[in-house]
Amino acid sequence: MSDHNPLTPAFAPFFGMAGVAFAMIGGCAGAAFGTAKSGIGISGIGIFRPELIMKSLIPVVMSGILGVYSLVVSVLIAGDMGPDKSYSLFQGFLHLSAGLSVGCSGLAAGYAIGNVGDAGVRAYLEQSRVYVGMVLILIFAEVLGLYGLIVALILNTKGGS
Amino acid sequence: MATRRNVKSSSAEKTEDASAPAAPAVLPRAMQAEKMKQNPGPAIPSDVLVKLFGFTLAMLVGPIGCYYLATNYVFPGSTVLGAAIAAVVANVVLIAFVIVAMREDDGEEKKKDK
Repeated sequence: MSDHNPLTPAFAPFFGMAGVAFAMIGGCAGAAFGTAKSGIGISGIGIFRPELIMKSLIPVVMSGILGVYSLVVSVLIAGDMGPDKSYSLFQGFLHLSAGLSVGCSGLAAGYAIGNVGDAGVRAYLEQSRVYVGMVLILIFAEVLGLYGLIVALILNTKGGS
Repeated sequence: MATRRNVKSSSAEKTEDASAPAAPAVLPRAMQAEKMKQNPGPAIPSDVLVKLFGFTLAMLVGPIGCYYLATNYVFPGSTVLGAAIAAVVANVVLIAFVIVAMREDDGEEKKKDK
């Protein structure tokens, strides 16, 4: 840190930490929206047919997985940082990009899971054939978050350290 | 005394009349108890509880535990592999949940058929 290397400026860890924060904030905001929105639908249909609750909990589990994705990326990024390690500006931007990709894709996937879960669960109350379609749509929505995780993992391998 | 009794009885009637509106405050408890006897509310079966706690634990501990297990013991040094394993474990939990939910619903349909 004390040597004034232009490649490892003192403000470089700022971007890495921002990446950690973006990953957790975005991913957990998406997971919270997905859980809350689909939870509203589940408690709505649970009044009429309580036996459907267990099957309808799938959007909630998928939202939880989005939270796990952002948690994994945050732990991964935080593991590369340390007060006595040399931390280049490239690594800082890399970690910022990884955090942003998993955070924003988690936010988008959580939004999709929330809306699809709410509407799909309410439709499942009246038409049981909707279930397979709903699960497929939810999987495709959740895969969006997985793409963000994959990109974040690939970016993280470029860090070298 | 007799007249007083009459007065008292009338006053007792009045108090009964006064207590009549207050009775509903007591009634709901009794009604609630009766309701609980008739419909014992969320009588959660033990297998549902086992599923609930099992999946909650798996979701909380599974991925992040596998991450640390992989990075510290199985593949020391490679954190990306551990992260990939954690993501895979999270998806395995999801698939297991979907399968369990499907099987539970099939069982209930069979019960209804019987």
